[in-house]
Amino acid sequence: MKLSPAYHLRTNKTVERVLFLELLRKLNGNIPVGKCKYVSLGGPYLEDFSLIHGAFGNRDMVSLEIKEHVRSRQRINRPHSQIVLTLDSTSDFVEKYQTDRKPLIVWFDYERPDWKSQISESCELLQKFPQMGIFKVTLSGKTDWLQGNPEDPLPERAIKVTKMFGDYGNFTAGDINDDSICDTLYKILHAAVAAAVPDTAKRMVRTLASYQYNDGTPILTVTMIVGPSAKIKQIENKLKKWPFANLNWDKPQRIAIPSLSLREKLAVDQLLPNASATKIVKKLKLQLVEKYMDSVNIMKNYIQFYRHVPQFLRVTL
Amino acid sequence: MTTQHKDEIKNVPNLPAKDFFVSMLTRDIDLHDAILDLLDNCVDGAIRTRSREKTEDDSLEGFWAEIKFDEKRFVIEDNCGGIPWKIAKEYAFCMGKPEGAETKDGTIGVVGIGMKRAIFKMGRECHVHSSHKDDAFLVTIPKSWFADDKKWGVFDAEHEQPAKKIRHGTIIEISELEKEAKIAFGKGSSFRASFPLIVAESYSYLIEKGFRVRINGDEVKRRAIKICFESPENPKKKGRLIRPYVYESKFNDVEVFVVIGYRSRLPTQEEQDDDTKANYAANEAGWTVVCNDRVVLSNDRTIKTGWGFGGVPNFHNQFSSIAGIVEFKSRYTANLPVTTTKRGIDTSKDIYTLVRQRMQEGLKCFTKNTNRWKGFESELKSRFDKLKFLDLKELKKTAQKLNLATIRGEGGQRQFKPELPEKKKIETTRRISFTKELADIEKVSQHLFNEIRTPEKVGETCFDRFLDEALK
Ligand SMILES: Nc1ncnc2c1ncn2[C@@H]1O[C@H](COP(=O)(O)OP(=O)(O)O)[C@@H](O)[C@H]1O
Ligand SMILES: [Mg+2]
Repeated sequence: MKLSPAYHLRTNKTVERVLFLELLRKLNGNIPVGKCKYVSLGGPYLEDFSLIHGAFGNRDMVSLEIKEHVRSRQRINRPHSQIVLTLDSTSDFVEKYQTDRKPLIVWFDYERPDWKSQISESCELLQKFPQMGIFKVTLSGKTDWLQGNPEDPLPERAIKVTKMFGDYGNFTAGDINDDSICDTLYKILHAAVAAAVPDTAKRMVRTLASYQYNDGTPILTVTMIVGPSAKIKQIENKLKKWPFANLNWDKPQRIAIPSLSLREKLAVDQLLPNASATKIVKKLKLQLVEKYMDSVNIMKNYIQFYRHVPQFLRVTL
Repeated sequence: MTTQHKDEIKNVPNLPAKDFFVSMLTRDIDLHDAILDLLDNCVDGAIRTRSREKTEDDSLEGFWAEIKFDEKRFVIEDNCGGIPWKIAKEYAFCMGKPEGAETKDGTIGVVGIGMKRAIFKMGRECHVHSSHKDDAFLVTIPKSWFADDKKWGVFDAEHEQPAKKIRHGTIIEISELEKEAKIAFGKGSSFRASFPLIVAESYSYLIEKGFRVRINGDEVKRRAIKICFESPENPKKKGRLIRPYVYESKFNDVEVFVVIGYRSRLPTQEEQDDDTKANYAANEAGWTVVCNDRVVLSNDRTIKTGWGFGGVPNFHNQFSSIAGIVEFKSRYTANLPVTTTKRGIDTSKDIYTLVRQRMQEGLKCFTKNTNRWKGFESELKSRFDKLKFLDLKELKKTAQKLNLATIRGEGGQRQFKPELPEKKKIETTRRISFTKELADIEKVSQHLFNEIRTPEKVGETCFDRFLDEALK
């Protein structure tokens, strides 16, 4: 029996979630975040529900979950009793959802890769999304489900991806390896959204943040806003200075935090914010991986995000 | 009425109001089609200037166009030889091609309006810089031209010394953008995502010939349609083979080539039912029509290309593995069955009506064959897995070696009808299908295999086990 790994084993995902919260804080002046209906796939622990409820006090919250036994755990883990624990799938939600004036935040945190239907239902939802709503979608970049010749599976997988998304390009093995798959999915998502919700001055879909990371599986996550051009411009101006923003469908940022032990983390943090990555690696003689330059690059990424790396001690106590 | 008035009555002005003229001209064309018109001009330029050798090979190798845009301006630049001063003087900047203006073989431009229409569609200020081997010049359409109803006749042009060494080509820069263009060209716009895909589709065959298009720095990759051809290395091979239907003819100056077949294995019943999941989704099925190398209609599954009448069924997911290409070529663009926006076919042209009957004949081979395999699609899977899929160029080459049968009548029509493998229909089997909760299917799967397998596998194994028991 496999339990889904707890968040504290997935550093990058955790950082990404903290960044999502930070984004919502920044949006709070422009969008009444606390008054939004929040819909998400919280899993057994409903962590995102706790965080968002904790920060903004949202009451209208809906969990989408198809497994009854997970719901039994959610009943115990839910941060407040008003969270509606449905046994609906994302596609049930998309089908049932009817546009109303209530501001909306939806996070489809897909676990399994089933891109074609996931992207298509996401687009369907975006078409009826309320103005100034926030939609976040997380896609798994696993490709082994596409099978292919075990010795060299990528060419065959690329053909399958091309068959699936032929409208959006002709994909080759180089587009679907672990390093490139997220960029590829991002392109596909962008093209699909552009086709489903073509721009008008009154309504367009723009990214606010997009990241890729790998805690064992490549993951792409994209947060979008739907609304009139003028209002989106305001938000973009506000977010311009935030280094973790990703506007106008630019390429997703990479989050690649090394999993440091607490001692390592403390040692590194003491040298920050002044020391450069090279300096830290030299000074502490801390080589995280075999190659020196790779270690420096990993350290660079750590420096970029270190303030968002949570102290797990607090959580696991 | 006084005599003084009488004197004045000699003529009345008939100049169109600029606003009216410009909006009439641009209202029915989409932004992307307008830009494709500019690209077509680049290709036409390349065809006009390419070497004899390249003309013989029908190659566009070495020619390119680069498009860049943002909220302020649109620029298209090419190395396709530039606009000859004679053409500029005689008609390039006229609204419509004057009677008697010559055209070069095989180009796509026809009515002489594309460039102006594209400029007006996008903005209210424009510079056209041409560097041709004999002359170089800069034509400016100033903002003021659009505001002045009386100003007709000429645009300002400045002569420049023709460049010797550097490449010859054209640069068109459009600014003072219209609102629609401004939104479309802005960062993160849906147009930025969709336009390269439209070019990839429309320009697939031109890119194949070596023409290159870059849009905001990214090279456009072509999208090729490939059709299954069993044993292409042995064209005369007999027996039931998965091959396409092929047709060729030439009516006066218009050459026609038609090919239709399977572009993928046949989708199984489950795949047909679940459109979103299907790896063999329908959007790549249907007919693609190519006129002088420009794709003017793609993956059409409507009455326009013969679906749904004359014995051909309506399109349905079960036919999502059928795809065909129709190619028309002519020195005289006006004789091609294409609309003036070049994104659609003119179905009223006689030649098209004639060819469409052949398209239907070819199509029927495959709709019928698909129906014969209904319910047994997966039996063909392993055969398809081993087969070759050829693109248009390869198909044309291979078709030369097939035994085409002559069809009576004009036009030198010849066709090849494939003998497709067929499922013998002795109905001793039935399909079982039912729906269960996903969670329950997974439970049963765990019980049977200690892991999650496909619902189909789970159902089948349950059945087989009970069959074993029943037989004991
Ligand atoms: N990029 C270019 N390179 C060479 N010639 C061009 C280019 N753009 C326009 N021209 C010339 O200008 C003429 C007018 O273009 P257009 O208005 O599109 O009408 P058409 O293409 O139907 O003749 C073309 O026929 C061509 O000779
Ligand atoms: Mg033209």
